[in-house]
Parts: sequence; structure tokens; C-alpha cells
Amino acid sequence: MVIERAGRGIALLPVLAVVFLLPARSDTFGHFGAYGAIFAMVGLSMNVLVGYTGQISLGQQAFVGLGALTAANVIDTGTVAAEPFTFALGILAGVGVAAGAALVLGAIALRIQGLYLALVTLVFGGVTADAVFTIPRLNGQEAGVSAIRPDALAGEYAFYLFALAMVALCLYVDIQVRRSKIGRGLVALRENELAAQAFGVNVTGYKLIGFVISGAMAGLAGSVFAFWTQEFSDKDFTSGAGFSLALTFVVMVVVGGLGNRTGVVIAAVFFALISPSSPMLGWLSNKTHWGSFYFDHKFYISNTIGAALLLQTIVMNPGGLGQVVAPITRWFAGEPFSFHGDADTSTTGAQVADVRA
Amino acid sequence: MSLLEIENLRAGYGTMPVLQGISFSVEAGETTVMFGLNGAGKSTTVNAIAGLVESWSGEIRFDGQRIDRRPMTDVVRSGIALCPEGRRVFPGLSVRTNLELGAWTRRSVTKEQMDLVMSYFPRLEERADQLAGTMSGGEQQMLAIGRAMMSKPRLLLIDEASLGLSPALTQIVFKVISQINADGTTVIIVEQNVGVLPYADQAIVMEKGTITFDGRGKELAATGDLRELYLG
Repeated sequence: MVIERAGRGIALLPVLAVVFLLPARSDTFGHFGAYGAIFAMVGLSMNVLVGYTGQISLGQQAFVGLGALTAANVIDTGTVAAEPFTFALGILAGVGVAAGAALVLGAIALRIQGLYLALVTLVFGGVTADAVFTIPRLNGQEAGVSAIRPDALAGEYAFYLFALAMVALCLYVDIQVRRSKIGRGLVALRENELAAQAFGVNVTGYKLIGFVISGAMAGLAGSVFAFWTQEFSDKDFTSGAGFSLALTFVVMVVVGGLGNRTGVVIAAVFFALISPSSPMLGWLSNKTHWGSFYFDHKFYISNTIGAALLLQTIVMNPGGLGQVVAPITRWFAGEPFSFHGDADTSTTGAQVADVRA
Repeated sequence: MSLLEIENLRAGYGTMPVLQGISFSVEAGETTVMFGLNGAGKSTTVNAIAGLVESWSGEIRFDGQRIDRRPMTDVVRSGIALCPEGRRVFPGLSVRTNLELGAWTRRSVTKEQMDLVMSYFPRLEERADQLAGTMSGGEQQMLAIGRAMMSKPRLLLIDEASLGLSPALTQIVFKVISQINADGTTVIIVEQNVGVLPYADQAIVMEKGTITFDGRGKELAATGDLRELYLG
């Protein structure tokens, strides 16, 4: 038993080294790491909405953007570092506004499903980007709205650790939601709305809860993003950049595995590194010829990789990355190494239908 | 006083009327079977009782209390459970979780109720950790009925109990429903299979949103060829 535990501990060391030591090597790596953490938060927000509740959202970038816009405007530091109190206030305001917007979208989306829901969320994302993010008084115009971090988080590694703590918070919420009655209600809705209703699940209430939790997490990611870039710029969320983000968020949660938080976090970090907006591309382009090629063709290459992974997941591996790594994560959690685990936490009805077919 | 009283109930979908003002009552402790062709309004009736379909006019009273304007959660809490048409189990969840979700409106899932359901359907206990979506049609029907029983209902509504089941399995399901009824739960079954008639205390035949027969099961059996007379 003790040897087994020691084995697990030793096996965990490389993972911990990558998570904690690699970003400490330089500011650049810390900067990349924080970007990955922001994507992980968005991935977890999508996991609650798409993975647990079964509601598609093609407008998640709007909640991220609203979080960033609100946090930056609340704090608007100019050229000085934010005070810790106003920094916290900015983050909370970003979370609150995004959650409020999610409540509105959820209320609109209550009676629609599938394609129509996808269209409504897509339009919501587009309209928010064009109507809110482009208001000159809010977006700071060309200069953007500055959101300089507090002194304690000025260093990239310190900010990375802060972002990591926010991911841990989102993970905690995700785990608690899934374990609670709320989580069971959300999953029941995903599996069969009519049957859930027949057993007394309040469909309206639980759908709204799903949207609000997801929106709040995305808003948190957006708030952290504003302090990561140290400014809000509408260009990060409008036009092609916004649409590209929306698609990336959906693809990464499917590739990660709907309802599987470990898979979603891994996929989110991967997509953060290869996405067209990834800071790593700029760094790579300065380092290597290959990186330069990637940077010049980032939209094509990133989208092609995303599309290929999406197809591979849907056709060959509906459980996503989460299903692949599940035996390892279960082993780390103290269970014997096995390819068969708790189906309730890793499988959706659609996946079962796929198995039966 | 009857356990369930329906008076001049009208209901439908969108602007299309289905139930044209039906009235009937169900006595506590009995099994009522509703026969009728597709589109006769049987499923709409049980869905309206369960609160899934909004009633346009008329009254539905359960244990003397009106339930036709109450939210679905309240209807379930009052002691009515619906086993919907097509089973509609939660395919990606285990049998055990499906059963637990059936007890949604209760504060906790009691071991006593879980054991009772498992005693009705021992197959569910054997497959407690299996995904519901990977079970056979018959097993899914057992699960759907067992899940509805988890809320400890006083009135169990079963929509198309024998749909897609083999004759042998249908008889097994009917016998268990009979046992559930014998243990004190009032049952309404929507059926097209006349094989359920021996289990019916009360029989109702519906046609085009109206009731064309409402009497004892034995009386209906005595009318001769049911298929020809009532089911086309």
C-alpha cells in the first residue's frame, strides 16, 4: 500500500514539475502558462454548460469579453498598478456582469434547443461584440482600457500562480456542482429533458443555473485575461478573433470530452497554445523558421488542427481526451489501474447511443 | 371520494385540441387501463395529469385537491409519478443513478425504497452499475417503471408499458405492475395491447379525444372482440 502510494507520488512529480517549475523558468513561460490557465477556466465553464447541462453555446467568448471589459473599466488604472482591493473588485464585477448576461441569454434560450439554440448564442456573441465591446467610452478606443496588475502580481510567474489558483477555484466549483443535487439535475436535463421534468426537475430553474454558473466562470476567465494583457482591447473579441474564439471554445470541450473536467482542462491548455491568439506563436516565430511559418499561417494551421482533432474525436473517440486519460487520473486518485470506471462522470447519452449503434 | 377525478378536461398541443372535454375518475388501489388507437388522446391524458401538458379547461383533482394549475414538481410531490412513453431512461447514467433521480423530489433516497424497487425488478440490482443506455428494451422498461416508483407515488402513470417488448417480457412487466398495485399503489396504464385487460379493474377506451367506454375491465372483456370493436 505504502509502495503504491509512493509510486503514485513519484509518477505525479513530472506533472507537478511541468505545472509549477516550467513556467518559473522565465517570464515568457509564465506568460504562456497564465494564458493556458485562462483557457482552462473557459473550458471548465463550457464543461458545465455543454458537458453537464447539454446546452450548446457559440457565444461563450462574449461572457469572457464582458468579464474583461468590466474588470478593466472598474479598475481603469491608467499607468499605475491596481490596489489589491480594486483589483479584487474588478474581478468580482467581471464575474457578476458575465453571470448577469448569462442569466439573460439563459432566459431567452429556455424554450429552444439544438440548432436554434446554437444560432441564438452565436448571434448573442456577435451582437455583444459589435454593440457593447465597440462602445468608445467602454473600450478605450485605440489605446484600450488599462488594467495594470497589483505589484504583488506584477511578475509573470506570480500572475501565473494567481491564474492557477483561479483554475483551482473553477475546478472546485465544477466538482461541487457535479456532486451536488444541482449537478444531478443538470445531467438529468442533458440526458432527457422530458423525463427529468416528469420527475419534478425544474427545467427552467436548472437551465438558468447552468447558464449562470458557466457565465460566471467565463467572466472570471475574462477578468483574469484583462489583467494578463493588462488592458482591455475590443479587438480580442470582435470580428474574426471573436468568432475564432467561439469555435475554439466549443471544439476544445468536445475534444476534451463532454463532462470530463480533466480532459477539458488538458484540451483547453493545448488549444491555448496552438490558437491563433496564442502568445507562444509570436515567441516561436522569433526562435525558429518553423515557428515563423506557423505564425504567418496561424489561422489555417490552428483551424486545421482543431478540425482534425474534432473529427477524430467524433468519429473514433466520442469520450474525448478525458476518456483516454481516465485510467491514469483514476490511478492517481488511488483506484486500481483499469480501463473501466465510473460511467456517470464520463459518458453522455449521445456517447452511449453511439456505443449501441 | 375517488383518488383521481377528471372533469371536462380539454387539452392539446399549440392550437391543436386533443382532449375534447373528457371526464372520468379512478378509485384508490385500483388498476385502470386506457385503450385506444394512436392519436386517441391516451398519452395526452396521462401527460396532463402529470402536468407535462397544460390543460386548457376543466379540472384534475388528486385526493380532492386541484392539481391542473400546479407546477410539475408539486404534482410529483403530491404523489403522482409518470413513466413516460418510450421509457426515456437517462442513457448515459448508471441504473443506480437513474433510480436515484426518480426520487428527485424526496429529501433523500431511502434504502427501503431502493430495496423495494430492486425486489420488483431483481435484474436492476444485478445491473446497478451498468449504463442504462446499454440495456435491452425490456430492462429499460423495468428501469423506467422502477425509477417512477422511487418517488413513492400513490398514483403511478405508465405510458405504453409493453411498447417494443416481446409477449413473454410483456407478461412479466404486467405481473410486476400488478404486484405494485397489490402493494397499494394506484396504477393507470396506457396500452394498445389487450393482453393487459385481465389486470384491469377499470377500463377506459378513448377515440379522437373522447371516452367511448368507461367501465369495469370484466365488462369490457365481455363485449367480445376488443380489437375489432375498439382498436380498429
